[in-house]
Amino acid sequence: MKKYHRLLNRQLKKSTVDAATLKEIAPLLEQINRAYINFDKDLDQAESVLELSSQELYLANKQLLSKFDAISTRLTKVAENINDVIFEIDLKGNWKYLNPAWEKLSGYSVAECIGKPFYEKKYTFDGTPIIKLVKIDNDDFDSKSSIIKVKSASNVAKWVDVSVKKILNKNGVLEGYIGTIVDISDFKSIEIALLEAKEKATLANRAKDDFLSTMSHEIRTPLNAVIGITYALLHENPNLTQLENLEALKFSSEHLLALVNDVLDFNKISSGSLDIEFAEFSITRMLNGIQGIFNTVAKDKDIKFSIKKENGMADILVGDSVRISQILTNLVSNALKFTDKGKVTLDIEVVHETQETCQLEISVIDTGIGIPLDKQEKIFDSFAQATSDTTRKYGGTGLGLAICRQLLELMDGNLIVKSTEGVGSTFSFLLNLKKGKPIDKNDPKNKLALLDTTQQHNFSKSKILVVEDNKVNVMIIKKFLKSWGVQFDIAENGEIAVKKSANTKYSLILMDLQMPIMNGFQACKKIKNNSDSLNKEVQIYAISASTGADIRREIKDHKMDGLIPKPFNPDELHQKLIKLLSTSSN
Amino acid sequence: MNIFQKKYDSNELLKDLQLSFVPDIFFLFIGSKYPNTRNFIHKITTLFPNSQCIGCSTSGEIVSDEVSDNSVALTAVAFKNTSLKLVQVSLEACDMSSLKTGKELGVLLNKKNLRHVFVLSDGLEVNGAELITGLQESLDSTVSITGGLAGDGSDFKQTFVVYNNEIASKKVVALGLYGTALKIGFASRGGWDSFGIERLVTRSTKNIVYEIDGEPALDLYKSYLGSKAKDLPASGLLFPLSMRDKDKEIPVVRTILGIDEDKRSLTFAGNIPEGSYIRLMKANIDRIIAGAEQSAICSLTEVTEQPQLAILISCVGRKLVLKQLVEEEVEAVQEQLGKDTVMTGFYSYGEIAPFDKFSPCELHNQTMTITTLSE
Repeated sequence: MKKYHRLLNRQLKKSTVDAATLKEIAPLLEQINRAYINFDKDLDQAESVLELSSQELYLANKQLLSKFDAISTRLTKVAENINDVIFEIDLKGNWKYLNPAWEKLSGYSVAECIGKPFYEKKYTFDGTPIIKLVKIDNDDFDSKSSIIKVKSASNVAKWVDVSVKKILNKNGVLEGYIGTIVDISDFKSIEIALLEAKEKATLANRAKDDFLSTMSHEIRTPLNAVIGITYALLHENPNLTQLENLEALKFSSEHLLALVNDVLDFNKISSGSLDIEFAEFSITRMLNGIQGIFNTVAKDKDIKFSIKKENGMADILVGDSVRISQILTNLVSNALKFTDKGKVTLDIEVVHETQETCQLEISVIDTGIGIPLDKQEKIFDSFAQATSDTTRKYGGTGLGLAICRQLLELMDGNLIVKSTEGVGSTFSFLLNLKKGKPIDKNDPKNKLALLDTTQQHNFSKSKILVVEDNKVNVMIIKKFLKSWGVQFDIAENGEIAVKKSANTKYSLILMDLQMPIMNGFQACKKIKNNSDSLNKEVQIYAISASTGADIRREIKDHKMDGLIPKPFNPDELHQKLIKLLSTSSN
Repeated sequence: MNIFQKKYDSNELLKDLQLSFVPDIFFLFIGSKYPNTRNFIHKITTLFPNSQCIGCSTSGEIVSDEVSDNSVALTAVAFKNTSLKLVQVSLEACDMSSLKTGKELGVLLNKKNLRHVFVLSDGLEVNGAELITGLQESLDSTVSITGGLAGDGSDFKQTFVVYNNEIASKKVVALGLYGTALKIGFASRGGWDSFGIERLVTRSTKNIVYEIDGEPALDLYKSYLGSKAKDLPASGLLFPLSMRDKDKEIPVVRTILGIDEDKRSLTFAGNIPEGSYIRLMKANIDRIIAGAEQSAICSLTEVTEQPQLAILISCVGRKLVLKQLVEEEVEAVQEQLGKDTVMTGFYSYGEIAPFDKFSPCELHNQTMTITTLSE
């Protein structure tokens, strides 16, 4: 028998085909044989390809695994030696990975936590989850961090900073969460200590502020009387000498008031809470005032004091007149103090001017003792003077220049000194101010403002209620109201005011705020809220020595109509009354 | 040693049997669909009341260099200088523990001069690896162990073992051979090639594997079987796994015995511990035949003369791959052993033997395992 492919041979061997048939089908068998052989060759080919690629795959996989091992060993080493906790959470909210730092932080072993939920109540004191995942399947965040207080297995409290971030796969599908937990207990205890210290300092500061505020209020009340009486005397046709004295008294008392305010201001400046006001003022008036106060001093020392003002410069400017006046008063007062012969000049020049603004250079020039070069910077420090015997010789607190410089800084100006010992000093600064509207005498709005205060206005139809507990203040206000022909009632406290307003209809109520029995705010509320009240719609103005922003806010909150600061300027009060009473009678 | 051999085809009954010697033992390898097994056994034990019987159901019977299905391969042997002891242990008597069963068998056989244990086990209910461990625990390490797990075609439904005139499932029978005159040779070789990447068994319990590289084991497996997946578990014989235990360098082959569609797990003939590495294997006809040849060569290395009897236990998986060429591997073995060696054996669900003379006994799959005997 011919030797065929082994399969064919075996098939033929098992068959019962006889030799004759075999010979007959020999060509067919040959074909089958070839097919078997070819099939085997193809299979061999396919197998060797498979074998080769399998080997390549096997090797590549081995290399990959060993690289992976190297990297994961390195990462494991890092993760295991780091002090902070690194964790992974699966989508069900179970710990998937925790590095050994977890054991140190929590006191629980990594093995006992893996596979358990992160939100187990045992980790925090109040039972909230250790990590604030909004909802485990919620998409509300990508990463977040929070500082919380946790407890360890041995119930030790620790502050930790937990940061957590989503793990998204290539298609942006959430796969879990990864994050860190850092033990910040040490930082936190420092922070708490600092907060406590700050709290104490704040309380101390508040006590100081309260003291200053109370004291200033207490000083203002008698000052109110001094100023009020000065005004009253000025209205009683004094002779020329009396007039001059009264003007000086008036300016001095007003200056004293300003000084009281300055002590408060210095406190405000150093605590950074002083605001510069922007209001129209007349520079001419301000300079006249300064001339008035210092003329006498200069005359007494036989020094020439002059104010030079550039001709044609705008009179009405927008700025904080109180502060500018305070600076000028201070500088001129200093100049006169340290000058024994010669002159002191207050020089005002316009350096630059536009339609809306003007830049002034203001200088105070003296021919006094001068300041040694090495002391020229020191004099601006608070409570410092050029030499230690300056205080003894010339007095003063050494606060003035410090306030001046700080105020100017708030106004974007800078106080500069040029001085030669024995020759004199020049203090100068630049000031950028907006121009105000020149007073249009034809504007009806200004008519009221321009009313002559001496002109009698008919107040006969109006009756006002003055609520004030201070007897001196009552006496002064009575004096003016009488002279203006205003009808009025006086109430000594809020309760009396409420009673009076129940029976009488008033055109205006002037309400002191701090009073015994019932304060101004309570009284205002009672009067306005009483539906049967005759004075439901009445305008109630607060009169108060406190003029700070907080008082103004409170006045607004209590629906009072406005504030008239104490001590009041009688001229301004008169005009206000004219305005208020004419509107209320309309 | 006197040997008589005869094959009874499926339509052939045992009526009478005249032998020139009184056999010590009958080796009976019985096709699972042989119609009258019980009668056959009964007849033998009636005809030869002084002889013992050991045997099992198969997935193919080997007589000489022929392979048949659903027949009975009968081999009668009378030893000259070797004494025998045949024992059986029921799994049920050992709480279904294969380990305990193995231990028990060892205890029963452990006598002076024990040289070799030939073991035949139920093919589906026994964890072959545990059975061997049990045997090893109660036997001296110088005692060699070979044998196999019974088959049932490729049905994976019910197998049995023969202990004298008893036929039963869930049992293991073992023949102890005693005496210094006996010369034993054995080897086990496969010829399958592993391919693709090495994968990590990430979840398993004993011989059930749930996850490979974190994926359900059955899913991975099915993806390789393609259209043959529907024929599982039988088609699993085409893709055994090569398993490398963490500590062992030489991989062993593991065949699938069953699947669980619900748990998506695979059940193997031996243990696959968690953390072991596996690779899929594929067959190549030439290399399978070469494997059988290699096994024969290896079984001869320590034997100086030609063996008188060779028992071949080959895996049913090889038969499924070789198909019509299945006899080629038997012929290849015969060529190596020599024409005078009488060969019998069967296709099994698992082979028991050391890899070679220097290795401990193990459970194998997909191998040709040869045990040679001479006096």
